[in-house]
Amino acid sequence: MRMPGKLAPILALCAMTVAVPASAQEYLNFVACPVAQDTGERSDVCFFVRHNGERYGVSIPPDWGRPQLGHKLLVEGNVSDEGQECGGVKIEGRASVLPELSLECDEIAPATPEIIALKLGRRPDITEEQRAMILADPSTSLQIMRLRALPVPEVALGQTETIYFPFERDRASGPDAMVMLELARLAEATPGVQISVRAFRGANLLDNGEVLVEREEMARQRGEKIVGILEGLGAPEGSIHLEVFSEAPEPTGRNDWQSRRAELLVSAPR
Amino acid sequence: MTQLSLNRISAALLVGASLTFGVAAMSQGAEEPRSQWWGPGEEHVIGETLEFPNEEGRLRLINTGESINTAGHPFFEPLGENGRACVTCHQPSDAMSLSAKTIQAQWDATGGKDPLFAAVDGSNCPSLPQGEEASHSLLLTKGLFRIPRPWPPRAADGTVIEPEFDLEVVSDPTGCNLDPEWGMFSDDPAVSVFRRPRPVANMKYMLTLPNGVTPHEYFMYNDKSLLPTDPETGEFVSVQLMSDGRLPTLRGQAGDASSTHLEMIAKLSEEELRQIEEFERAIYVAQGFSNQAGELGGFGTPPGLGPEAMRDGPPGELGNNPVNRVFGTFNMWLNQRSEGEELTPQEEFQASVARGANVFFDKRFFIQDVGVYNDKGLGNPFKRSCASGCHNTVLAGMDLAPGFMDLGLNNWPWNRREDLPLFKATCHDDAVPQSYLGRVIYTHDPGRALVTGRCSDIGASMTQQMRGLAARAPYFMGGEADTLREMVDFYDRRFNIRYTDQEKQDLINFMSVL
Ligand code: HEC
Repeated sequence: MRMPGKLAPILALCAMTVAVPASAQEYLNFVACPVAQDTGERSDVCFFVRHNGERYGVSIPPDWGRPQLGHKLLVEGNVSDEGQECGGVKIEGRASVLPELSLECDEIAPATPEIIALKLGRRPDITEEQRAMILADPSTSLQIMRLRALPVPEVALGQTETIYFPFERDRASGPDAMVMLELARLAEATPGVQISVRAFRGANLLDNGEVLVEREEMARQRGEKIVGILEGLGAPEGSIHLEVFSEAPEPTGRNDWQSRRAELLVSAPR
Repeated sequence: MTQLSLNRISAALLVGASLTFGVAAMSQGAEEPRSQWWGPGEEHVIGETLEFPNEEGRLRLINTGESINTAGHPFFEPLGENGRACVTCHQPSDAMSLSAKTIQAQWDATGGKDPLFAAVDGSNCPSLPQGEEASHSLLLTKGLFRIPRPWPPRAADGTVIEPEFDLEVVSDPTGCNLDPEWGMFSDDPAVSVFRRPRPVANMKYMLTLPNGVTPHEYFMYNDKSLLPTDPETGEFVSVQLMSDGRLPTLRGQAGDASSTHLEMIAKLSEEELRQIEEFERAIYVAQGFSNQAGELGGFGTPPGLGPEAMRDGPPGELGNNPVNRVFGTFNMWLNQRSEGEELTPQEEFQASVARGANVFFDKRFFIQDVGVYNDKGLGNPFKRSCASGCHNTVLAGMDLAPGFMDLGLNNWPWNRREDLPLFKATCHDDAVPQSYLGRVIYTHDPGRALVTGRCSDIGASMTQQMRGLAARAPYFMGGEADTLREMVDFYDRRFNIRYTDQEKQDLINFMSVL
């Protein structure tokens, strides 16, 4: 069996109708309402979708944009047989919150004992040691404790960086913003630098044959936003060449999320 | 003896006087406290410390700069045409904001003649008959000043921003949005919204870019666009100032306030700007004494209380990890007696404050359908507490992440006000819709969208700092909550939290000592 053992109770619990899970490595491409799963009093919510009688959780990159009730979710990715995601079969890939309202997507699944047992979305609790420290010196409860810093990406002249976007969005993630920060620094430090920004509009072939095409101006919107950011971060004026690809590509139904992208290249003068 | 130390002594005397006064006021029970109004041009000395009684105890203001004589100081002098000074709307007794209670008292004391009530923004609309209470009802009842914003919006350099939405006036109780001279169809088209003054103190917390949350010292959290820059230095600035972030620097803000609120014709001089900014950066306020909990600050009390904690604390830091708490621990006020022993009334109140703090820090609820918040990557819903959801800046309590949000206070359906103008915003088909309200939005104040012109920003505003609350009701940008109780009730209703009555009272007591 492909599913990790600890999933079995949940699936039983959900009493799915003849669950025929997609096989591992299968690529899925569909739109569905996300369901928010409560995971217990002291832990976060996670999100899953129901599709063809199966419960799936989508694993997405950090700060890419988590699912939202009130909106449908475009799910694209490979079914994975490793671990679970939000109590469902994991899909490695991307999930995009579609911008238009879908008020019918409004389900919050309560935290059942089985879900709580999975210990999803738990945050670290205070330790006994820390409690004792605060008791001894209350001012330590106001100490500076910073989040772990995002890794500083390594960028280089002549190396293309690609930023992928959720469907019809121009918001880059935190890690992508770090890439732009580093590229702008590199550009500032490179005399006579040339920056190429190529921005694309995406299209998507769903499993049911439907094609989703992004709004026409998405490529321009992405490109201009990136140019503004790079300039604002110190890229020399006039060093950026923007190319906008507003023609929607022919979607294949495989990794179509990669069509929603921008390519950034910083190079030294030849 | 130097001038400085002389002033320190007079300041100390002032503190002494207000302390005795505070005690006297308490022992005399019901007697109304003497007016603490500081009129423009009056002489006061701001030494190291001043205290001002309020219903919950005393607000304490400390000055980390040189002692100030308000006479001749540009924050306190009536520099413009209408006789107001900055202090008119930013009163020390009111935590450098202005409470509706003070406004009413000032109306009564002057028969509505105080420059506070100037037609330009101290009345519902300048075209109304001045001097009548009804013409100043928003100021008198909710502490709201009229803020006219250009329509269509203008960028800082004056260029027109093409808005993504059309704006219709649905209801105009003040008459100002349809007024031929002041309204949206006048020669100088403006949208009038009505907002509370924000406290001008504890400024290092407002101005410091967030630390340790890279890349958000460069990027807005919401949509990962860049933060604005200081037009004078080119440096990135926080967007914590003003409810809509339209003026991100103290100098820009002072310049704007002098021409709008003070109706000053000339520009503030370099020296005046310098003095105003220096003063604003030097002062810290917080409740310093609680009638029921006793001293706030000092040994044995929670480390986040009192203005000294504000002065000494680190700005731009994220709180509410399980170890570091937004306002520090309050647990020394829990379990002060062993079982069976009776608590004194003071200890009982302290315990309530501590429980309230822990509810604020830890009790999670579903934060749902908050525009420009749940859609900034967090997911909808997002399950967090008051402190970890939004009020996470150490000691100050506003959201550290640079960004705006629509809690529901400005837009239907979460809030409906009869006294405020109501607009219908219809977003264009090619605009990204507001995430939870779509393309047709009924709003009392489009907020950030009056700066950006964006549909998705309609109703969004910047969270405020939470210090000195006891001195400056009503709360929220539009004066929605007259009391802390109403504030708690709003959240309870909005997010379906179902606080118990005890939890509500504990939260209120907690906020009353900040
Ligand atoms: C007529 C009343 C009034 C006067 C006079 C006034 N202000 Fe204000 N002030 C306000 C209001 C209202 C706001 C909030 C505006 C908003 O959020 O859109 C505010 C906000 C501010 C803020 C932002 C505080 C924060 O944390 O967001 C600063 C700083 C400030 N004022 C400084 C000044 C200075 C300096 C002067 C004198 C030159 C002045 N004000 C005069 C009403 C006034």
